[in-house]
Parts: sequence; C-alpha cells; structure tokens
Amino acid sequence: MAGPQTTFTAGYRWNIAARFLLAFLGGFVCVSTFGALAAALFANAQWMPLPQGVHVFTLFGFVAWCGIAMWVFFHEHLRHVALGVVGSAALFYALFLLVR
Amino acid sequence: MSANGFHGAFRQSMAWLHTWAGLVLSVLLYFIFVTGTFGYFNAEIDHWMQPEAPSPKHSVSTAAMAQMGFDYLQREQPDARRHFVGLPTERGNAIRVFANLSEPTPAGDTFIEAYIDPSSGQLVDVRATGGGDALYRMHYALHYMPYEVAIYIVGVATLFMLLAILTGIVVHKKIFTDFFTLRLRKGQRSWLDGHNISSVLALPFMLMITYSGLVFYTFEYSPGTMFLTMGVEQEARDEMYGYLYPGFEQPKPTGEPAVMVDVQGPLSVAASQWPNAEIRFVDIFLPGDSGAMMRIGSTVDGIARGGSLLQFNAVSGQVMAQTPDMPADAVFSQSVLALHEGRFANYGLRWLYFISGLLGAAMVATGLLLWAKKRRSSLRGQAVPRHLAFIERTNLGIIVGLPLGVMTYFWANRILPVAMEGRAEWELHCLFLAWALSFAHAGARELRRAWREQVALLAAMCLLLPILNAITTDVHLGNTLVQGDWVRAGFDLTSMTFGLLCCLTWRYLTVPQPRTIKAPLTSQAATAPKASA
Repeated sequence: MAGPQTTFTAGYRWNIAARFLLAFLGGFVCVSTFGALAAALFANAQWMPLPQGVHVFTLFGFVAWCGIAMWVFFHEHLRHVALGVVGSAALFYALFLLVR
Repeated sequence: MSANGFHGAFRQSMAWLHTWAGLVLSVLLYFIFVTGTFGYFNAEIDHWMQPEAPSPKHSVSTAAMAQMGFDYLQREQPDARRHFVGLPTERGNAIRVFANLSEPTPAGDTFIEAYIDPSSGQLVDVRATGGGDALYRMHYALHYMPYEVAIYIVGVATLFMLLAILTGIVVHKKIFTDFFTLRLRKGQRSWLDGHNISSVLALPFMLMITYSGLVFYTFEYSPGTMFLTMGVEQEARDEMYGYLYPGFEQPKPTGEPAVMVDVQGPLSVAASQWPNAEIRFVDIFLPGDSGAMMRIGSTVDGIARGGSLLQFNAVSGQVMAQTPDMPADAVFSQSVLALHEGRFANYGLRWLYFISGLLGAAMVATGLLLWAKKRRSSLRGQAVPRHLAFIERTNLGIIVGLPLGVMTYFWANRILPVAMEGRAEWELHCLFLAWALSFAHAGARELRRAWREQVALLAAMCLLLPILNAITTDVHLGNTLVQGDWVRAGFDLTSMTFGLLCCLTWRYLTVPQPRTIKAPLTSQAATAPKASA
C-alpha cells in the first residue's frame, strides 16, 4: 500500500496519471454513451420520452461515474482497466448507433 | 502493488482513493462547506449587515403591502414591462419592488430595484453590502473568476467529494461504532475519531448535499448523454427545459391601455388556495396593457422547490392557470435541489442544516490534519521534510484563516464608511486579504504558537463583534432583544457562542500535548513526535 514512506517511481506516477484520466474522462464517456443507449432504448420502447430518459440517465450517471472511478483505482492491471473503460464505451456507442 | 488490487485488497484500495480524492481539492471543499453553510442563513445575515433595514414587527396586511409596492412602481416606472413586488416573509422584513424597464436608462440599467419599509411606507436606504448572499454565492461561483469557469471547478470538487464519501463508506467497517468513539488527547487517533464522527454523524447530509450539488448543473457537468441524443444547440436545450419546467403561456401586449384589477381580489383567492403558506410575491407582466397578466407565488409549503403559482388576468382578476404539473423526474431533481437549499426549512431545521454544514467543514479539516499527522508519525525521528512543514502551515491558513476572513467580512461591514465607493466589493476584498494574511502569519511563526495566536484572534473577533455593532449602530443586543428582533440578536449571540468555542480551543492549544507539533521550516531543527499510541 502506498503509505507515507512509499517511494514514488516514475512508472507509479504515470500509472496514477493514466488511471486518473481513465476514471475522469473515460468514466465520463462511459456514462454518457451508456446513458444515450439507455435513453434511446427507452424512447424506442415508448417507456419514456427522450428528454425524460436523457435526464434520468444523466442523473444516474453521476453515481455510475464514481463506481467506474472506484473500479479503475481498484483493478490491479492498468491494461485491463483501459480495455474495460474504452471497450465498454465503444460497445455502448456502437449499440446506441444501432438503436437510435 | 499487490496481487489483489492496485493498492492491496478492495478496502485498502478504497482507503487510498478516499484519502486522495478527499485531499486533492480539500481546500476548495472546505471553502465550499464554510461559505455554503453561512448560506443557510443568508437572509438573516443580510438583515444583520443592513442595520438600516426595518425590524420585523409590523401589522400591515399582505394586500396593503402589495398595494404599497405597486403604488411605488406605478409612480416611478409606469411604462415598465413588468412590476414585481416581493412581500416580507418569515425571513425578510422589507417589501422588495422591482421593475423591468421598456428601455434602458441613460446609465444603461434595464431594471430598477428598491426596498420599502412596510411600517412607514418609506423607501429603505440600506448600505451597500454583499450580505449573506455574497457568502452563499461564493460556495458555487467562487470569487475573482468568471462564473462559467467557477461552476466547473466547483463541479469537479463536488465529484471528488462524492467519490471520497462513497469510498469512505466502503472503508469503514464499523460505522456504528465510529459514531460513539472519540478518544481525546491521543494524537493521531483523536484526529481520526474526530474525522469519523464528523463524517458519520452527518453522513446522510453529506451524501445529499454532494449529490444535489451535482444535480444543480446536471447538463453542464455531464452533457454527454444529451449531446449524443438531442444535441446541445439552443433548440435542444429549449426542448429539454420546456419538458422539465412546463411554464405558463407568456402574455402578449395588445397596445390598449387598461386599469389593473385591485390586488386584494387575487390575493384572497391565493390565500384560500394556500391556507398554510405565505404569499411570497405578486408579479404583473405588461402593467397598464389590456393583455396584462398577474402571477402570485407562495412560499414553499412542501418539499418541492419552487412553491406554488397562480396566474390571473390582471384586468378582470379571473384565474387563468395554476402551477403546471412537472414530470416525475423533474419533481425528483427539484426535490433534491430543495433539500440542498433547505428552502422549506423552518428555523429548527435550518439550524440542523447549519450544524451539518459545520460538520462537513470539520470533516474536511480533520482529514487535512489527520493526513499531516500520519506523515509526522511515520517520520520516527527523521527530519521533517519541507513539503510536510509547508502543508502543516497551509492547514492552519485554511482551517482557521477562512473563518478569520469571514469574521473580517462582518467587521468590514461595520467599519467601512457607509458612503464608500465599491463598498460591497471591498467587504469581500477584506475577507480575502485577511485570509491571505493568515497564510502569511502561519508561515512566519512557529506552528503551535501560530495556531494559538490565530485562534485567539478569531475568538476576540467573534466576542467583540456585538460590541463593535453596539458602537457603530443602534441595532445592538440592548435594543434588538427588547424589540424582539431575534434575527439580529441571534446573529450577535451566535457570534459570541463561536467566540466562546474558540476560547475553549485556544485553552486546549495552550495545554501541553502528549505529542509536540513543531514544524520549523528548517528541517534539521525539527523535533520528531513520539510513536503513536
């Protein structure tokens, strides 16, 4: 654990910086694409009008964003994290393009 | 790094994230908590900072006060596009009149605003002051920077705060035990207990206040979903806001002059519709035109944020429409925002909000102190690194310096000349100057001595504020208590209470501690603390 006496190597610092970007920007893209997909699905199924779906999933997105940040800073391997965040965002976006 | 996760097992990784998510923007979070907490009494602080404003006792009817306001507006701005009269409520004592002008004045003003004393019917000539609203506004719009930039900085800090709270919940195995644990004079352990108690005690408040802080600017902070589905052009925004806040139809001018209905009739209808709420305002659009429309609004009588509205034909006095129903998700977000602002809160609940806000500030402050204390404990006899000495000093500047700045703001309100140019802005300059001086003092003095001196100064400023008030105005405790002006009296008494609490803190700081806190900037001279208990 990175306690007070930990020596921070350059690799460790880059790892933290990359995780920060993945959590902050990657998390944003992830919740946005998921929200867009869900809102479009709900609108197509006529469960919610589009503005309502957009609003509801944006409100939900703040908590999901934190959940993604927690996972990003928990998972051991940076490569898996990057793949998980970027891959899921790409998948959500592709599905959104299909259903909108 | 371990085999389980980035920083050990899940809980350890979350502890690391909790520390850094809370620490990185802690200065900003402390500022937001302190200024936002004062915002719960913004109207009351306004009242204290405007000693010329009328005291609460009057026996004028609502209709008479509304008529007073419209008479003034009709006299001063008969051609205005809109006449608005804000009525005194439980938290404000003057009648606020406001008019949107048809054409800008030679000075470029597009509106006029004034306050009327309901007892005398005369204009209230109050001093220029930022009041409680300036403190409230700073907690989301900061100061000395554009609003558009500030809200995003505050948004990032709020997101970090939400993350810190959620990870903090994960980290705590024994939340219930933490609720009852406070071990005083145990060095680092005492700060940890203090941090836990302040966090756990107000945990529902912290969660609500942080999440709702994000909801205020939902589409500014997270525009992605809207961008992908509806776009972010003005048309899309209009569609979204039209959906969320279905409003009344806007009146159209006919150009035919007409006499406005006596306000008494519509007010009686409104009073019968809302027996438990106060009338908050009467608003006339296109006064003097046959197409004029009147809206009457009540104070919040439930958890919904906006209160209730009734719309009348301003010529015939007939009811045209009631508050339109909002969709469920809009009701949810408005309720969350109402919880954040505490608009529905009576004074008892408002005090609870205030105390919870202070606990939030205490949570950030104890977190800062705990972090520094942990680093000190880990030195085990080694010299204090310069960065740690720097952080320990900035901690003092942050934690005590900001309250010192706020007290200076109140002092400036009484000391600066009433006719001074840019007076309201200078009150705020005084706040930030005092805060900057606190940092300078913390850097120049031996740390423990600096703590004692700044806390002593804060205690003196709090205790002497009512005396300064008595010297410079006639709304001092001797008069306010007799007149029943509990808002101003309460302000002075609260200031004295804080002064006494600061005296207790000062007393605590002067008693020899089990572990010394010495942080000379020359690291060789540092004395390392003993090992933690």
